[in-house]
Amino acid sequence: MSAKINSQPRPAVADAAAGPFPLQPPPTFAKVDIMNFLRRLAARIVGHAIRIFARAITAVRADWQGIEPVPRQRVYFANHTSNGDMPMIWASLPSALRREVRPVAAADYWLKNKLRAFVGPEVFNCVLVDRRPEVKDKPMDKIIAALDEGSSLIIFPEGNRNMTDDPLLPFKAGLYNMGLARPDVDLVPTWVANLNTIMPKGEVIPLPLICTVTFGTPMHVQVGEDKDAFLARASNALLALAPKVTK
Amino acid sequence: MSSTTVDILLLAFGSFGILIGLTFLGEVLRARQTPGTQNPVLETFMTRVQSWWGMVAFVGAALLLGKGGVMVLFAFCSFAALREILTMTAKAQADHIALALGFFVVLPLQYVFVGMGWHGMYTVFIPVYAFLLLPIVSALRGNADRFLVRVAETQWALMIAVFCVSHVPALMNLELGQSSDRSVLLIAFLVMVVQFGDLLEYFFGRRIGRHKIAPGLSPKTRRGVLCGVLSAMCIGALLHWITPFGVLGAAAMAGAASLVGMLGSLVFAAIKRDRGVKDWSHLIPGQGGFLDQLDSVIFAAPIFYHLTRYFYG
Repeated sequence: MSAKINSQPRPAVADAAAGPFPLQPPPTFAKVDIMNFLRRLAARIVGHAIRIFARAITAVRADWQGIEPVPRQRVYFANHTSNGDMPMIWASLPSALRREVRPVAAADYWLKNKLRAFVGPEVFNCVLVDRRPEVKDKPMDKIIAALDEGSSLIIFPEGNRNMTDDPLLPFKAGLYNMGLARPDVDLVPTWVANLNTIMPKGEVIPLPLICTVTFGTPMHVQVGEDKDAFLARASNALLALAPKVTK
Repeated sequence: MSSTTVDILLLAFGSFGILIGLTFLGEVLRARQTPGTQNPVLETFMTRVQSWWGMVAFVGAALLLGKGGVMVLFAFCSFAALREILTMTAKAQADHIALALGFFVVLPLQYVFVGMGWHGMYTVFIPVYAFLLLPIVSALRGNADRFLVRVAETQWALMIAVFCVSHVPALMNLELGQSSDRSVLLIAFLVMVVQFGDLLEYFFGRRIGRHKIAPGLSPKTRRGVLCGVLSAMCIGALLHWITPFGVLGAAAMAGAASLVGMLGSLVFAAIKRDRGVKDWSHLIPGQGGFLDQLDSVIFAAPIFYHLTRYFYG
């Protein structure tokens, strides 16, 4: 992957649409432009379709408890119970914020087939990270690079989907490292309610129940705060957003 | 234009007239407040009036479109209401298929049966077939944890959100010894008397109400309910020309529907209180959910349907 691609002067939007993994080196300029345009158009259409589908089925609603829906650089860190979590947060953001947000997602999942390789990098504009230790491209470098480009991020600090009865798994260190490396960025706890019932693992048909995405008060790593203390504080802040419905 | 269409338009314009009056009254009261203060009763009144504008527009358009429009409108209401209830009920992954069947099979089939005018089917489909078959689907997954609670709450949700709501469009199927398309006007009659009764119950309850009928659940008072039902009866009598009931009959039917509706909204208040929520959802801005808006109509519809069928069918 080539220095050649990176050195081409291309507008930022086209770059974003092409995603972090352009699949082949481009043959000619005119053809690239048309293909880029078509792929971008398709990505926008698919994006709208996903958003409309999410809203029609789950009436997904953003509850802005701790922040205003204004364009600011943020890392939205959310609970993870279902593959629908990321599209749901994405769909609940107003368009000005949605354009600036990049979900951090596993490369092995999103590059598994051609459809996913289109939807993940191009529709959602994911930052794809490879967690295998032998890979040279370290996830945190890519995340920091995305932050330095001015993007907001969606991350799932539990690292994996939570299949347990506990509301949250212990957080991985990534959130702390981001907060430490880029202390100006707001870390926003984001609770996605109900998705484990809407689309539990192993089910095919999503249930049209109401999904609420609650955004809490932004956090930062405080001076001298160690990793465990910060992660515990972040985890509690996220848990505090879970709606209390007695059942 | 048929006489039914003329009547629907008359009702729509009459309702718009009343809404203009209510909006004007509310704005005058707002303007007379001391600046910077807000009267919560007035604000609630105004948000209600606002959502009524939408409701009159939607119901009016649906009635003008005829059977198809009405079926689509109420099927959508059923879907929204079922989604609101099932979001709050007890369920496990073992119920996933049963719940999906509820949304994607039971609900559409119920409206197909209503659309076919198959009275013998749509009155028993959910109380008998769904009641017996959905728990079987849940049981096959082999999770016994709180099983009865789960299946009972699912069934209750289907009864309220699909069975009861579908009895509003089912009014079109009643043969009442008049030209057949006039049955659609019964929908306008039911919705109007119940909703106006609710509004006036709220008004009188706040003005002269004393004894709460269900303390801890709802601010409804004895006097408020009495005045609301009496007002609904007057409105019913005024609207007798769109019904086959006659003046006294229309007043009695309106009173029955309004009373059942008001008491029904107590049931919804109890459920919301139990689940610790104030509103069913946030789908109607400033109003809560579809269920918050439709609760009394939902309870009144099957009773109104069967009373009409028994006495006038």
